[in-house]
Amino acid sequence: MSLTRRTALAAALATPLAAPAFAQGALTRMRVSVIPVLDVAPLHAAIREGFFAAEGIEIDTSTTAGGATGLPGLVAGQFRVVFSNVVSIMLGVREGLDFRFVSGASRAKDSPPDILALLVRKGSGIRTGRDLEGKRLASNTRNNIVWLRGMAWVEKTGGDWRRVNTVEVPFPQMADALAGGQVDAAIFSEPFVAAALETHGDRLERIGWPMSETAPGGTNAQYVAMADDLARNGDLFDRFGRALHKGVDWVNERQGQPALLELISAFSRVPLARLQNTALPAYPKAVTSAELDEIVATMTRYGLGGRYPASASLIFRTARG
Amino acid sequence: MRFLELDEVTKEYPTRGGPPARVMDRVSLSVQEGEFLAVLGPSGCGKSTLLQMAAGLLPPTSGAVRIAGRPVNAPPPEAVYVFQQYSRSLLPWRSVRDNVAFATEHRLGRRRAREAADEPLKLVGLEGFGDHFPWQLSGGMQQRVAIARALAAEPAMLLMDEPFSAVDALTRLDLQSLVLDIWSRRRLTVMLVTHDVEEAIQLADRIIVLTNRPTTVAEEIAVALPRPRDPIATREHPRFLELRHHLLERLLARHAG
Amino acid sequence: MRITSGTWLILGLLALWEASARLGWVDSPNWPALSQVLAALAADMATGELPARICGSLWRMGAGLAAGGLAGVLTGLAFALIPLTARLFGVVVELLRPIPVPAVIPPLVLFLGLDDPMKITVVALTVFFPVLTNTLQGVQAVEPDSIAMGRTFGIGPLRRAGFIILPAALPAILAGFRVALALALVVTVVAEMIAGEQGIGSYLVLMQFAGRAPEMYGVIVLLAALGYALNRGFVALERRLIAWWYAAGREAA
Ligand SMILES: Nc1ncnc2c1ncn2[C@@H]1O[C@H](COP(=O)(O)OP(=O)(O)OP(=O)(O)O)[C@@H](O)[C@H]1O
Ligand SMILES: [Mg+2]
Repeated sequence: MSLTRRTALAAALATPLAAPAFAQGALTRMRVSVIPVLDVAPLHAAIREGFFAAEGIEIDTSTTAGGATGLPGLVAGQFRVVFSNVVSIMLGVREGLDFRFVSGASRAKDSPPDILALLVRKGSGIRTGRDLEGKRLASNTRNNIVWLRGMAWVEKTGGDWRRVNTVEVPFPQMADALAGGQVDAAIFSEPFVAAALETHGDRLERIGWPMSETAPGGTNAQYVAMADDLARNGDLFDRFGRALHKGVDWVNERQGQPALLELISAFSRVPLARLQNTALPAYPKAVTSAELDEIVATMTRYGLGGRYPASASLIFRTARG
Repeated sequence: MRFLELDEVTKEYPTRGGPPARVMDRVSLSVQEGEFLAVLGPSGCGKSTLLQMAAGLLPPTSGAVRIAGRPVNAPPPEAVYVFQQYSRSLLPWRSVRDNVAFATEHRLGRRRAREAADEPLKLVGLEGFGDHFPWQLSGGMQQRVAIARALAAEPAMLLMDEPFSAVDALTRLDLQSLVLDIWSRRRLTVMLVTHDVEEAIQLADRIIVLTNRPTTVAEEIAVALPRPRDPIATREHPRFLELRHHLLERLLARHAG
Repeated sequence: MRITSGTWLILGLLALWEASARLGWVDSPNWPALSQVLAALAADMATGELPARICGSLWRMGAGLAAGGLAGVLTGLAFALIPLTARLFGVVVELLRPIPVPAVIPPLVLFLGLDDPMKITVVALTVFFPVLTNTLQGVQAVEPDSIAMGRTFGIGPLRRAGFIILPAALPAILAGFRVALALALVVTVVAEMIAGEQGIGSYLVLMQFAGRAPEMYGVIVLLAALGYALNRGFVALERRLIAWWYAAGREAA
């Protein structure tokens, strides 16, 4: 049997059973907390292409600026699923919160360009982590993946991360803060790297790739849900995972194509022209024990250690490859 | 028949720290049905206090107030209080007609109360001013509105607190005639407090003179002037002059002493 | 239309804005020229996106204003007229008053979620205190004689509250609402920036993250205009509601 015929057959069998539940108005609403960044492209693809609707799910995204309300909102029951960076998730887990990974979201590519970049003012003479000692380094938040990869880069390039003064600056204000001299270096994530080089290119330059230079292919962000919700509504999350992963396929099949950039521009409002100079992350479906072990080890190295449960126990079946 | 009775009424106000201040000390007086009584006293002796206790607006510290034989604990329907400061008791957001209607609209409903306002407005000579607002009228006209409002409630008795003290002398004469006219036409009972000797003689059947604080009744005098009282002729009547001499002497002597 | 000196000042500042961006006095992509800002604003108005968001924000603001204002007036009346309520709840209110609104957002999120109930409550809380304070002051300033007047005509306490005290205190209450209105718009936008996809606040966050400065400033210009229009509209409404107060004030002066 050819693939298409098998799919058609499966669809034909599934439809009579599924139809009543998925009838108009009977969609299960799931509220998902997101950040308006490139990493959530598969989620938006799956929404726009109707993959969620086909699974009987209606996704209601809620954008939070710095991701500040995401994980607390998950604990409080405001969201079913939250997109967040892995460090913030693991810090919550360390505090005893029952987060479970339901899908991967983004990770670094194996080689540059990657989604984080370290920028300095031209002529500042700063080239390495060692040069950054005693200087002010901007990160959007302390103790998240951006900061962690930044510290790893400092150490990798010969600096003592404890001697670097981290300053919290939101991404949208980083370029002005750096160009204006309020900070000496800044860790940007895309598309702010592209934006900064586009607008301040005459004054700023890139000196490092904190992701691919310290952890090639390293993990960045995931989708999480609460363990008890998963235990009670496993079927719903199976459907969620299937739909989201169709979105991942949709995105991965269109790497380097205008259709993908148009999708990202539509939900993020980043101008299309800028997206053409923007590095995209890799979009994984799975979350692996190995990547979680790597992140826990890195976190421990940079002062975020503690008692973490076994990585495998944190991964829900939808995120197992 | 005694319409209003005050029986050994005493009023004390609390003071900060010290013992309560006795403003009024066992005052007894009564007003006959249909009578026009004037209460004369120096400024600050407690005239407003006395009248407010009669109106059921202020509880006495001890003693009893009765109207039509019944004890007064709350404002009785028979008596309406007319305020010393008309400008404070009129509602500036209501037209003249609506101010008058305010006295009755909680009983009659808005439409009937507005209709019923025409008659008292005419009685005080304000027909045609129903759509004006209080602040568009002179002081004398505003006091007429307050009187019309009191009349709209159709009380048997008016308790008037120096109702003419805030208007000019000519307007005062005018309003005094108006009140006398209404009193006789409507067969009202009136208790009016004032510090104006001529006003008391001109209007009242009987005058009660109060002492300074703590206030007691100093004297009670029957006016015994013929009615109707013309504002000019009455003031030249020998009895008027005699009473004025006597009362002024009393009030001034008290001040000197 | 007569052009006042105030208008000239504003036009001058706007010209300075345009020049500072065009001539590179302020050299940052985050400082776009006024003309670019207005073009971006016009574009998102034309697509219907901004009008819909403005309506949503105004709805939330209006709901918060109504709820907080009503609560403020009723509480103020109760405190002023029923001394027991002031003794029971006065301290609670005084303790809550100095808490800045951003500080109460986390517990509100916990109890009310991230949707309209939370946002409207944030606005309502902001509105509540100025309205309460002014209502209290307004009621305390009501002429005792006018209340006694109601009593002498046998008018009951509820009717006295509604027909004497409330109208007399209305100028003060409306002054409280005018203060509250200015805060309400700002707080609505701040609440919308916390989470969700609705309203002007969420648009601001989105445009900030997309690095679209013209759109961001466009919406800020729009907010300024909206705030100005709301205030003008409110003053007009006030002049109708308490025309007697302005008129009587002029007579008395
Ligand atoms: N609420 C109050 N508390 C304490 N003292 C009061 C109070 N009300 C009135 N008094 C005092 O009682 C006395 C009598 O006051 P009241 O207003 O009855 O005098 P009055 O004869 O009407 O004065 P006026 O001629 O100025 O109208 C005054 O000395 C006043 O200071
Ligand atoms: Mg008095």
